[in-house]
Amino acid sequence: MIDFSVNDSGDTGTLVLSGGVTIQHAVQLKETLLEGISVAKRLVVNLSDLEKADLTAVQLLCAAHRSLNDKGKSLDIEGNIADAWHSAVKDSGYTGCINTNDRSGLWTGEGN
Amino acid sequence: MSVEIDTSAFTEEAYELLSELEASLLELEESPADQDLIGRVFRAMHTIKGSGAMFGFDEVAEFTHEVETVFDMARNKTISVTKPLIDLTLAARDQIRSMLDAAAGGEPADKENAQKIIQGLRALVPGATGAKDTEASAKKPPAQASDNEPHVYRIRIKPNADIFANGTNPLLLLGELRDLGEECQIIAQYDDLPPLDSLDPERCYTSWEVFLTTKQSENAIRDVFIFVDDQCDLNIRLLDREEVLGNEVQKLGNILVQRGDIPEAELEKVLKPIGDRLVESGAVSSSQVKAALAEQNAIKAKRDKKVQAESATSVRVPSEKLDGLVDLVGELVTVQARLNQTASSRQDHDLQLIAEEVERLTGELRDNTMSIRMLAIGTTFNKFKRLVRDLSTELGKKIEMTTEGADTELDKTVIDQLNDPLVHIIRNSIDHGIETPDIRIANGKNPEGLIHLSAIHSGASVLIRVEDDGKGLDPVALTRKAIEKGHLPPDTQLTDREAFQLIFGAGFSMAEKITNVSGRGVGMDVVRRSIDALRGSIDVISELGKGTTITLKLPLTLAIIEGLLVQVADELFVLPLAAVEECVELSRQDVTNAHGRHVINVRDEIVPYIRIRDRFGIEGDSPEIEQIVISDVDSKRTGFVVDAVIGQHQTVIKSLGKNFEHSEEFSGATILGDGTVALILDLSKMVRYVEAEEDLNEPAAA
Repeated sequence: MIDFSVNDSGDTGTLVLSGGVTIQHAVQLKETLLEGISVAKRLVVNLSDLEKADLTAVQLLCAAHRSLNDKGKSLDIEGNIADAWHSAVKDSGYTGCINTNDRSGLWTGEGN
Repeated sequence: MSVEIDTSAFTEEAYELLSELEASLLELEESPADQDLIGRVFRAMHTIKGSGAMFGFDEVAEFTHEVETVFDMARNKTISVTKPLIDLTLAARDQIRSMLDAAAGGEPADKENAQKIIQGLRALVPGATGAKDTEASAKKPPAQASDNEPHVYRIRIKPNADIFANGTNPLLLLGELRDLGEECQIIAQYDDLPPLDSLDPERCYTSWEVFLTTKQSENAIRDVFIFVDDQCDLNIRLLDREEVLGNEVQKLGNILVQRGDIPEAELEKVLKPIGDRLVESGAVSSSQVKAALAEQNAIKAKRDKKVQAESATSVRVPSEKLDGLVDLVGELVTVQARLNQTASSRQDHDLQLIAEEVERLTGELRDNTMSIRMLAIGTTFNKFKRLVRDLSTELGKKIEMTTEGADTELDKTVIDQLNDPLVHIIRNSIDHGIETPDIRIANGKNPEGLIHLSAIHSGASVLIRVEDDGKGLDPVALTRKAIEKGHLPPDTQLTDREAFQLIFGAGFSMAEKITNVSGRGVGMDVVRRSIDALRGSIDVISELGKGTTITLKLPLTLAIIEGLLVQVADELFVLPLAAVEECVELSRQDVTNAHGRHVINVRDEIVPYIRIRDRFGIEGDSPEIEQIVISDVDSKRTGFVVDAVIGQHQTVIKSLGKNFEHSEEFSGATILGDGTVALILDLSKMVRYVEAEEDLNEPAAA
């Protein structure tokens, strides 16, 4: 499931990905990420209840992360990163993606 | 927003693979040591497993994995191919089919049967002490590489951007690769990933370099990609083998070419001087070098051509799309006929030239469209090998089946509808035709019976023959039985050919007892009805004690008919030309001579006829001299009386639609050039209706 909200001051957008986020949700995820990048200065991603992710989700979050970096905005993680995300990163070989001072833990592929 | 993954592509492919699997298994039974066949069986199962998992058919994938594992051992010569293995794998093939049918809304598959098959297969593995052990050994098959040392492979995988659209999940493939080796490093290449706003979320922008340390062979790695080989570029390189480094200069060049660092042309430039130098040193002559280079070029050209041919060999298109195209071409043919007529009536030379050109193009378009729907009958033939094998075992008979003309092409619609009648004919041959081995030996025959299935083109028709060397049909006994059952009036005299046709009567059976296979007198009736529906005909030749040959004559296509256009008053009808034998005149005097009976004497042969005018209640007086179109209907000559014969007419068949589906005497309609509709007559149904009505009207004669 994909859920997006912006705080009252309008500077932080929170994206919650839960359950399965796969090719069936790819179009919706892209639209949500574009909205998140355009409206908020800071994007917070919550992956704690993610149960399944595939390559389309990994490609999209990677592209979104780069876009945020290019615009000087930040991507932060809220809560634990579910193992499903780490597995997707590791299985797809995206470990080490965006090594420009990335402290989000998104691209380590290491489980908790 | 979501994407519905279309599973029909998988099921369609899986059904094809199951047919291929069955054919390969039956061949393998004949030559159990044939490694190519073992490979074919393995690949078919591997593809079903892989695609099944991708499309969410987990049950199919898990079950197939078990079977595949055992066959992998056969591939590695750990176990040999035996009859029990073939039997179980055939049963597994049927189980997979029922699982697929169940997924499509059919009866649920028998899970106990699946377990039984798996247990049976596991029992074939040497040293299998229990299911668990076998599973463990199955999941880790013995090393396939020629030695026990692990090797490092560099595998470059570049999937097509639209790979997701085919239901393929590349991560599953990478996972399979990881399972093959002791160490596996997967590095994604995501340089092609565009900025988020221009990224198509359903396309794959990632490629990979995988470094895999494994004892498995390169073939085992390639097998992972076996079902996506047309969906990705795959480059596998063994990095640490000594023999690779044997010839340093040349191999280094190859490495550079394979890594894409230099084009092959550059390497050739460097290689040519080597040839020159060898000539200079006197080691070889210049012609030898030329020949070697030519050989290299030839092999390369051949390989390139093959690759090109393989990638362009086929396109899978749903048959509805083709049906739509055929309909459109049919409309075009009708419009073109109108154009021709208009052009000739206006006597406009330019318009006529255009009309002729359009006619030529339409003709070619029609022939091409029809040829797209043509399929080789071989796949249908292969199905029967299994039928013969299973039924002959069940009935304790030994039967060999041979086929001929498997590449004969027929319209897909015809092939689809041909399966049932052929099953009935072959079942009949096995049950009633071929004798048991002891009787055959007693009759001086080979204990192994023979069924020969052949297909051959004959004009606009295809002849499909089922020949057996069994006991043959007894025309006298057939006639007697038909009289006993009340199908024929007593004292009826039939020719042998007519008597043989009795086997196609409804409820007619010569079997003494009803078996699982046949004997209810239903099957052959089905054959006649199916072949009638295909506008075909059946001919039976049989010699008592020697065997029977049943020949089905079928039109190449159901979409076009070669017809004879005839006229009755203002109505036009089309008779299938394949059935027409001759046209004779019918004068009023002939009618008077026959004393009101609908028969005519043609060269001393009495031919009954049906008056189309009377049959369809067409008003108006008939001309002084009418025409009788004499046709072969169910092996009997029957005439159809019309006012005039207009001529031969090739036409696209239109169905009559739901409102007229009960008008069985017409098989369809066609639109002529001037827009007039002509009905196409179903001759054999007409004859049967008329006969039935006469029997009702004249019960005393029966």
